[in-house]
Amino acid sequence: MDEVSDDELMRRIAGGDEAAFDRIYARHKGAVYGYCQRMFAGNRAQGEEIAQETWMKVLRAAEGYQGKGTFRAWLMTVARNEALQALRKKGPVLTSDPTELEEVPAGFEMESSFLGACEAGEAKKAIDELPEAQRAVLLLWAEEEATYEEIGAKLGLAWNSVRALLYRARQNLRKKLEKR
Amino acid sequence: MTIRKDFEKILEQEPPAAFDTRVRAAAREEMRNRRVGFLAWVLSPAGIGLGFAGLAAAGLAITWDRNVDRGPGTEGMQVAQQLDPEMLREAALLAELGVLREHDLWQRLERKKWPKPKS
Repeated sequence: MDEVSDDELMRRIAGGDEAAFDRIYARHKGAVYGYCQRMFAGNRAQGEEIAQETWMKVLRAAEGYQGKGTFRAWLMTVARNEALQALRKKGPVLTSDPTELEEVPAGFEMESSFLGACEAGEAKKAIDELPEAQRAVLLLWAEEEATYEEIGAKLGLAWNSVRALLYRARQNLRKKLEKR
Repeated sequence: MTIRKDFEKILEQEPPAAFDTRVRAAAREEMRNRRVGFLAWVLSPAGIGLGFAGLAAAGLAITWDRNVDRGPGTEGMQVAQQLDPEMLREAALLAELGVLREHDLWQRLERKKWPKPKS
């Protein structure tokens, strides 16, 4: 069993230890790669580019890495920021389909367990098939456990647009998963 | 179970071997570049200048202490650290080349009206 902590591996990376990078990469590569692939579903090359850039950022930040909180949470923040930066370069994450932003039932709150029971493979495919705006909002909400306002600030959307997109995302996922 | 835990399971995806190879190669290159970059800086005029300045500061501190008889180098070092870095760099270079003798160094210090050592 690999007993060296992530923080210790980061210290070794800062000292130029290439083997330490291989170890930390092997531990977390699936999380970074999967997240980037979902964010850029349908564009595997861009997802891979963002995943690679995330790892390069980890290397460059190793010297100043403080180890506050878990390494995994910090790593995923780096990945998320890289993905958001790339999404912003593409232009505003706004839907071209006005029905996505139509009124949603009063009191709607996204529940945390809505995906818990489904198979991971099926859910991946269903998420990939969502329209980009719904997918981006859903991933930010789930990965970061952020509020509607926080997600809106990151994507340049009003909080009620975020809420509407989450509602549509849940509806779409339900439909897609029921059909499978 | 938190939302994040749910999603970690759902989102995880093993990258293809080709991607692994690419990232590992890029990481090795990045780490080597950082090492080479540091070495290049050490050998650059700026790095060498700073090295000489450090040597000069230490040299001045020792000389100062010897002349003023003020005990261990701490006080002399403090004085040397307050001197003009350009002057130190120049002094270090000249001393290195054998051009500047200790006597000349103190003359320069006098002209700049820095504290005069005891004779």
